[in-house]
Amino acid sequence: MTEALIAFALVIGLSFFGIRIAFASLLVGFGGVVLTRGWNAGFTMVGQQVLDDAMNYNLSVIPLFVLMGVFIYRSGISTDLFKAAHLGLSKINGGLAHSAVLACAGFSSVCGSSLATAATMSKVCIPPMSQYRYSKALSSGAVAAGGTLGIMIPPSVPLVIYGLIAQQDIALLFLAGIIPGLLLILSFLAVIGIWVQVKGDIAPPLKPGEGPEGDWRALLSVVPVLGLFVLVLGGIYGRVFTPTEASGIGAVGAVVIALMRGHLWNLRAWVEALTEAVSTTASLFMVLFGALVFLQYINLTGMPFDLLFWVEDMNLSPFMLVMMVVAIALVMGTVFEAIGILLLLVPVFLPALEAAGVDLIWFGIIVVLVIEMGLITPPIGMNVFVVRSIQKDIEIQKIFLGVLPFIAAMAVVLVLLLAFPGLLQVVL
Amino acid sequence: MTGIFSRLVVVITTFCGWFAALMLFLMMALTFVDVIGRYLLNAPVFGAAEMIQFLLALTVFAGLVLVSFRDEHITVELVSPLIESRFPWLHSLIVKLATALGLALVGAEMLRQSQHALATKRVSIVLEWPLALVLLPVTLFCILATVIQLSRHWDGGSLDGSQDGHHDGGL
Repeated sequence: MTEALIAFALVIGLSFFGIRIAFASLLVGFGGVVLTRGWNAGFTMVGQQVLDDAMNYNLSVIPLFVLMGVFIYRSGISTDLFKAAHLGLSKINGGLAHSAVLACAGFSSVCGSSLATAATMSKVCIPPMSQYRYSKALSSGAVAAGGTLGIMIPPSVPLVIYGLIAQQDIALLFLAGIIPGLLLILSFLAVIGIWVQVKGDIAPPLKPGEGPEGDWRALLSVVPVLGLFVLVLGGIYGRVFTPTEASGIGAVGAVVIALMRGHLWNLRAWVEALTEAVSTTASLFMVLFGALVFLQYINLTGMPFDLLFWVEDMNLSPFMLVMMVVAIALVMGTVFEAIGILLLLVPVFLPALEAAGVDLIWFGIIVVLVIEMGLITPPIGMNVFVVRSIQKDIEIQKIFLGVLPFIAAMAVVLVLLLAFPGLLQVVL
Repeated sequence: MTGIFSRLVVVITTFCGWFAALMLFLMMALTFVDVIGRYLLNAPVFGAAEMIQFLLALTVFAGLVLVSFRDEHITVELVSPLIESRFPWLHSLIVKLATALGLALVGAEMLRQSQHALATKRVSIVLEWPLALVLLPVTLFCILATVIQLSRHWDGGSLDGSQDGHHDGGL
């Protein structure tokens, strides 16, 4: 156990220093195996692990869902989604902010990337909110928080990775993500409603003639998005497609949407989209390689089973065990990115969680929700930085201030899911 | 870094980017055709899963060249910007050396596996394609990514295409 803890400390220390997380974990894992089993074992383990992952058919779901998100991102559908949401919500106070959250949710349902959602919606939603004198904290907070929906609402790459690590049915994980996704949307809308009620000047009501009346064509944009979502998720749920097949179908569906909207009609656009997806895929896989090599060493030290025995000795209830992991994930979430947390945390606790009889579908949703919170929690809230990078006139402190009520809303949803695991069973 | 070397790096990276893009496109098209063939025509593509395995490895490793060139490996930026601002040259050297070391480690193992696959004439199970078909290019991509990563220290990330974009993996 001591060696494993030193190894974890080394990975964290090197990562904080600035060594890329993939290489910090790869080198520490390799070094650990070399020290315990010798050079030959170290090299062989790295080669075998990397090759197995790089040629794992099930992992092809990752680049294809990433690609689907990139095509949707480049289809320019986001503006119409925002307009469509605003058509129905323009009459209520804070309608634009409510619309921003709904548009983020709609975009997430076919994108799967929180950063892409936050980046796109920052461009689409914040300028109109500024135009109508909304406070910067509200507009940027709503978009940064709305962007986090990307990793909960299926299809979600972190849920896929969790499913592969914990050997859980990805279809069930996707379905289980729907209720928390809806709860998050409702809680975000409630936050905006309450905030606007308490401080009316942060979202002045629209004057006569300022509304989006008459632009009903925007509603049509919802149809292909809804269609693609139903096709991908329905196909997986109905066992028509495997998740990998669904990701391929989804990517092609996203191409069709982009083409219908006048995008991807030249080679340059294709190359740009494909290389963007390649770049994301390659960096994700490198983290995957590093983390899995590191975990090989952690398994060699026996840490997962030491933890299992420790949990038994301490007579920790399954709930307490989950709370402990959630607490660690919350802390990690403030500094580490999503995949790093999943890969470093979940496998270590997996034997103990399984032995305690924890429902691993429910646990996966909890972990992903915690990671989602990390995307907007200081000091490193990636979505906050994405919004800031696009809307440079909004100070970072303003955005962090703006996301605070949404973090509270997410905490409420987290408590609800922890207290009532049966909520997920509604769709399972 | 000399001008010729800089240009060579750009050309190699562009080629690898295009190659990886093509592999990813083929992966998408193959998955789609396989599903349509299976469910609508009752004629799936023979060995599609194995082809996708090959394409996946090629996409990832060719993509690593691109990621190394653009400095887009995922980084935790909590205290590192402070260190970087005080000791930029040394910090960059250490970070890029560690990255290059990791890539070289993977590359060395891929080379060993390639040699083994060639010597034993290892083939895939269904299509019986030589595994060296994927292992040799993968080795080459690792070597290229290593060299390019090291070169990024000396060119200071000034080449075209560099985004100095430490990111969180697009999630």
